[in-house]
Amino acid sequence: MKIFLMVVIVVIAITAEMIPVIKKKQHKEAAVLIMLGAVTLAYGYYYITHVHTASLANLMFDIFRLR
Amino acid sequence: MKTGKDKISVKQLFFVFTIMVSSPTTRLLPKYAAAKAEQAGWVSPIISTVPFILLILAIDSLLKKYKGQSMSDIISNILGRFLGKLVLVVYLLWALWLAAMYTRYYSERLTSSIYPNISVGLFIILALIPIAYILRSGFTPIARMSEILLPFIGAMLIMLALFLFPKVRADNLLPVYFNDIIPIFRGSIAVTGILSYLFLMFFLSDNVVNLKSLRVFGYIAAYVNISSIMLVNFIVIGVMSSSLARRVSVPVLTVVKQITIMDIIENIEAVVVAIWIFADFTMITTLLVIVLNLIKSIFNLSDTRLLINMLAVLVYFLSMGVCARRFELEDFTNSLLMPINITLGYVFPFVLFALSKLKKTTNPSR
Repeated sequence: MKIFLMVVIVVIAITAEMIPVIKKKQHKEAAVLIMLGAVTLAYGYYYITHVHTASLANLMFDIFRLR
Repeated sequence: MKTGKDKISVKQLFFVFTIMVSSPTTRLLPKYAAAKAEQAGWVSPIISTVPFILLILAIDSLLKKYKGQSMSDIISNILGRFLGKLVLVVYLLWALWLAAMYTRYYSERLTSSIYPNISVGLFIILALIPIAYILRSGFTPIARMSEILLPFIGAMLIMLALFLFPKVRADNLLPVYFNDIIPIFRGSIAVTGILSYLFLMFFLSDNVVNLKSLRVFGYIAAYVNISSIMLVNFIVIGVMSSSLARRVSVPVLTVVKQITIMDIIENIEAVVVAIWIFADFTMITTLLVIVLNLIKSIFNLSDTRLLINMLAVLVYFLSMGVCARRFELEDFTNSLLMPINITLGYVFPFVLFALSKLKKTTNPSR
């Protein structure tokens, strides 16, 4: 349910901005917007499916091998 | 200084910076100084003056050499197109991380101080909606708002210090002796790390006018920020003692709760919470403006306003997932964030400054 809600919000946010951008023929802006939407969906999916363990701080600790 | 519609003055930039610094000053710095330097913690901000002034001089030199360009353009000019973009991506990730982290801190601070039964996510949403709204107007309203509100914040800090001064105990603050030099240096790392956000601010330098007075306002900002951080550390450690200050979750709030004026007026911590909310709001908004500016530079976009809503949704998820609990975030800030801040906020600008001196000055604006 949470994933569905997230997808709906992201699709609405993209569509609402996309229409005027396409009319103005700002294709590069549209591509960046879609990319940002994809990143949001990917991270949002990770967060929702790992809600109790998701921690970017822990990931950073692992990357820098501080633990 | 009169400014254009989308331009701000260098003075306004430093006003925003001072408000940004006030957020971690009240949350992190007294605790960190008390843990690292104990009773001498209140002296530690003085050490940070040296790298901060050097940073101002380096930025001033870069901006004078590459007139009318933003820091993104300067980096691309000095490092070349590919390496420049790579560095900008690193700065983008840093600014995005800071925005997510401070959004979470803002929410955690409210839930741990006055609203313990409310969800963290709700505060994040309530912060991001007005931020997304105000971002559409650009950075100018934030700068003007900061210019109006900073004197009130300063006056409030001085008033709180005056009320708390009778409770300060000299034996909590002294002795400070030669043996304390190394702990004082360690205690200054957090202040130095926080002041490194100044470099991020200059990614907006193409929107700033009157940059020739950067040095003067930079010195004033250094004096104001260092002295206010020292004052906060002095009051917190002086009232609570270092052993208590480093163990309490929000030492400034605990100290302010002790204020009573003639046994009539109490509970003035609401004022501190209001200042926190405003400082965090300014911090998050400014960081998101920087993120948008960096995206604009990396992808050569003409307009970034269409990205604001999507960015707000991304920051919501990032701030929810930045840590599982507050302890983890504080641990991260103390152990890992400060070296990252110092590397990206001081070491890299000094490298950039050195490279700019080595590079031939023929037509640098090209």
